[in-house]
Amino acid sequence: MELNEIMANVLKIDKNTITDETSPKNCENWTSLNHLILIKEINKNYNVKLSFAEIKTIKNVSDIKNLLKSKGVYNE
Amino acid sequence: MREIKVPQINANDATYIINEIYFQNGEFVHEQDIIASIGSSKAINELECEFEGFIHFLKNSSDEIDIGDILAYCFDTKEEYDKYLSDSKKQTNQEQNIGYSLTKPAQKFAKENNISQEQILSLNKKIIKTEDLQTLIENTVNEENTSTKKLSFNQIQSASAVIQSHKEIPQAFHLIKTDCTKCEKFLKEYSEQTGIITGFSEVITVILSELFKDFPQFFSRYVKENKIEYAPYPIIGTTTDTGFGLFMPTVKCKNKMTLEKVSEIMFDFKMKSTDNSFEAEDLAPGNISISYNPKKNIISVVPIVFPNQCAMVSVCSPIKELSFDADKNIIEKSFLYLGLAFDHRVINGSNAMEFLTKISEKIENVDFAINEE
Repeated sequence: MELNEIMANVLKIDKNTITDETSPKNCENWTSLNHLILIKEINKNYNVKLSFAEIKTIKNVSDIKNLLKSKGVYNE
Repeated sequence: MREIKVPQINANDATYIINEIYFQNGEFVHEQDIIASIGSSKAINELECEFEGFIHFLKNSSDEIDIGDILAYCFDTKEEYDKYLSDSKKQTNQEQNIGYSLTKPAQKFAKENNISQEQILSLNKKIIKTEDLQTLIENTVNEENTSTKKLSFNQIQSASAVIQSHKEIPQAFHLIKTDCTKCEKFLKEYSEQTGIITGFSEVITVILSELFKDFPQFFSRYVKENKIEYAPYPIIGTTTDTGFGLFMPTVKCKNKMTLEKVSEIMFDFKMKSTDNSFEAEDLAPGNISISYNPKKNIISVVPIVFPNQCAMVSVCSPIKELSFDADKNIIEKSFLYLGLAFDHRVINGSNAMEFLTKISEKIENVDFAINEE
């Protein structure tokens, strides 16, 4: 599943509205609980295990992409 | 002959289910061999054998067992084991003599209809015929039609802990209103600056770990003959519910705990709660607990005090209220209602109020550094 689809499913928003700048600050549904579920779904779909130190760096969608790129599991 | 008893696996459950038994009766086991796995309402745990010898299980897979029940016997020698088998056979024969007897058609009928031995015994008859069993089934169906339903395993487990708590612990409850406006603001800034998602549950966990030194009795447990046993360090149970079930993992505070450290541990617990991947160590019994109830508009809950603990702190979501500032301007503030259920044998009311006030003050004057480490 593509990252945008994962995010749209978890945050229950239209995937076309998701940009690199989408973040908990500008997306009402990006709550702490949904953040947790998002990490779980990313781990599952990309077969990775993001550490607490890595999760801390996530401030928006762009940060998630960069993290996954650094692990070699994401291409634009 | 030595007894292998069922240990307490976590604070929530008094009854477990045997998941799997790894040895045959009469097999030789070594110390630290894993002899069985036991399921609590939250996790599967493996049981190590404390002894060496010939093992004989008294229970089977899927049986329910209580804490302290004898799961198996361990015999030093084969001769000792054989004698035990011979004695128990005689006893079984005696029991059979005072039991019931099924006719052959009744045996077939009982098997086809899954009628349990317990149900048959309830008939109170020596000779059981098929018609007796038919009546038994009809009565059971009638009972089912009166809208009765067996409680779920998890509910039975919870009920068992609640009953034990109410039976053993004379509980009292105090409630305090806490201005959490400053703390709420701090938590928002903290999360934005550090990327760490944290909340009141994590803050109160840190606060409790800090209060251990000055209030050790709140982390103790009542033991018989009017004595208490102090804990070596705080082990704090924290309710974790991410929509996949309610769990009570414990934060072990051997060393000074920072908000970041506690948040990391509790984040890991929350992740594990989504697929119930807790390890036995995560759910090990604590010496104090926090009941966190984040549902909107719930002001307070009165928790039980877990058996083997003396206190449980309860906290709900902040409630917004209008208030006056120093210049008598109307401002919006957030308040938390902090509850404390405690064992009144160990803790008196004024101590409880002092403890609760300390927690409240620490929340109101939140002084965690944003970059602590």
